[in-house]
Amino acid sequence: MKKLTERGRRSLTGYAFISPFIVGFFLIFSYAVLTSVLFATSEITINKSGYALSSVGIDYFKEILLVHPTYNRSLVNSIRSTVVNVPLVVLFSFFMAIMLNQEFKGRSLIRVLFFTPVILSTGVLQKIDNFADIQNGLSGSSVSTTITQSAGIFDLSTFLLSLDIAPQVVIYINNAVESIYEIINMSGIQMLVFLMALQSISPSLYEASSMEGATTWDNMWKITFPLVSPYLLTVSVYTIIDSFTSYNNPVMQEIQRVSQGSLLNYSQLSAMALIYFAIMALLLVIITFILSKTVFYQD
Amino acid sequence: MKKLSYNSSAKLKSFLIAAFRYVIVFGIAFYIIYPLLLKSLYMFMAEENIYDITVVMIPKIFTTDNVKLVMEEMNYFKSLFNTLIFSIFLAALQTVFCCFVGYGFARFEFPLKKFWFAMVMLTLLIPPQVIIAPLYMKFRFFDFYGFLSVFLPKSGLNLINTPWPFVISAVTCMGLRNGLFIYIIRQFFRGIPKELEEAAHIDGANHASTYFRIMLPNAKSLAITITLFGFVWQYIDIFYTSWYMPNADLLSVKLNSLSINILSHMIAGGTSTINDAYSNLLDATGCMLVIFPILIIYFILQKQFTESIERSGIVG
Repeated sequence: MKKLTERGRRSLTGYAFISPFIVGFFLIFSYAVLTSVLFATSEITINKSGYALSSVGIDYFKEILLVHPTYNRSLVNSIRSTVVNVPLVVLFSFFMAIMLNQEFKGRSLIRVLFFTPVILSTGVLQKIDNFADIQNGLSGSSVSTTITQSAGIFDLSTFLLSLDIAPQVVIYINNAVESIYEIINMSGIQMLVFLMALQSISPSLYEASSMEGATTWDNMWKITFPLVSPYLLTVSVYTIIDSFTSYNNPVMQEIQRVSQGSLLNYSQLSAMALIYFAIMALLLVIITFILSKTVFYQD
Repeated sequence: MKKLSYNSSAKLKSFLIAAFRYVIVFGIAFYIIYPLLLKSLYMFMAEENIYDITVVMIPKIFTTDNVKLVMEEMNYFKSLFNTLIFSIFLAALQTVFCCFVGYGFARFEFPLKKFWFAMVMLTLLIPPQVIIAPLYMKFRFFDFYGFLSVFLPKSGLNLINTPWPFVISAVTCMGLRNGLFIYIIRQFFRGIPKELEEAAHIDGANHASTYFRIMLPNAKSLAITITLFGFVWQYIDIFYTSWYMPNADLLSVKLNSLSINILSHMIAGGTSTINDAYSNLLDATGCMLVIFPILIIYFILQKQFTESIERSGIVG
């Protein structure tokens, strides 16, 4: 047998270590992705030995986009809510991370509380949570409106409108306030990422710039923001994926509804999911492109 | 007007900033726990109280009927035990195999490394809904590229309603958010100095013993964090569970169909008035019963949990 070089042996060992993933990739992942493309372009019939496929081309895609009554609307709603929520989530988690990074009493308790949404806003709890508000069942008000009402807060939108702010902006702000609960729930991991980024900035940078006469505001924009900016990209990408795959998403609910039908709906389901994935990928590419222009890398 | 000295105006400023911070941070913290608080109160609220306009949050009549009913319907203690064992086992499996893969990506150079890492990211990017239908088919008619059909019926094994789909996914790093785990572990192992590995090599350790005796002991707290993540996400997972094991005695499955089951029992028992609010009450009770064990575990391990994530470096 031929003797391997040290380098060859190292790369073989490397492959040995990642082999579970490679097996999974071929056995499960690539198989599933390719099959879902196949399903989406075929008619499925069930027989004794399993199932048989007959190709129908892009009929299902056409049907979903042109004939299906609600899919298009759900798609637009999904994209709109993602576009609205992502900047809010990123800003909110950045802001909260700056808050939580400072020293104050009760910080560890607060950090625990802020981390609970990571656990509570996934899986079955996320699904049930939408329905579990009793007031919702009775009077149709959401958690956020219940809080603002019970706190007796003045009407923000009338106030803003009376200041002659454009109605579109007011609607955006109003929606943001209304969906604050959702945004908090979406920003658990993001906050943690920003917190880590902030902690990795060397304090000597701030000391040096304060010596030169910079204010906290200058430091924020000249030091904190550039050094955190690589994480903006990571956080945005994670938020987009999270928002697209969450149960509250209209398209996800659409897909959920189809999947509760019979086995024969698989083609439709796959086609729906693939269109959805293509749009998500496009959005991700656009956002990555835009953000990578503004990102500052230290080295 | 008396002029403030520099010292006292600085004090005032820092006091105002602190006050502002407390208001914001604790306000939002209240927002976060508000639904939990609400649910835990609903848990003990009698049905009459829902329709009573004078009851806002705190029930007039405290009752444990909801809890009893839900516990009985969910077969609570048995389901809880099953779920705990199942989730811990799967989380541990996921951690072991993701550690292997993460270590491989962090410490070795090999051809196509970038490609494989991009594939890890792709598994995170593709929503599970895209691939769940073929996965279901795969496990419904399970066959390893025709190897198994030598011994078994031609259509393959039916693994649905067995734990095997989960075990196979965990072993091959295809479980719930395992791409994220691989990413975190890779970041961690990249940060360990190379000298440590070289020293071990000079002392005659091979790659396997370096990994098991030098690297893994270092990664203990990270491994616990990953296991906890995997545990929690598996514990409350409904998506994969409802496809792979729709009839299992697991809490998430029970909770998913809780109010429907109870209401259909009531209809069968001759009740004619079914109310949305009441089914929400039951759902809230079920939620709290499911969350409660996680919260206990979480509060016990929170220091481990939050701090080691920060140390490990999810990104970078």
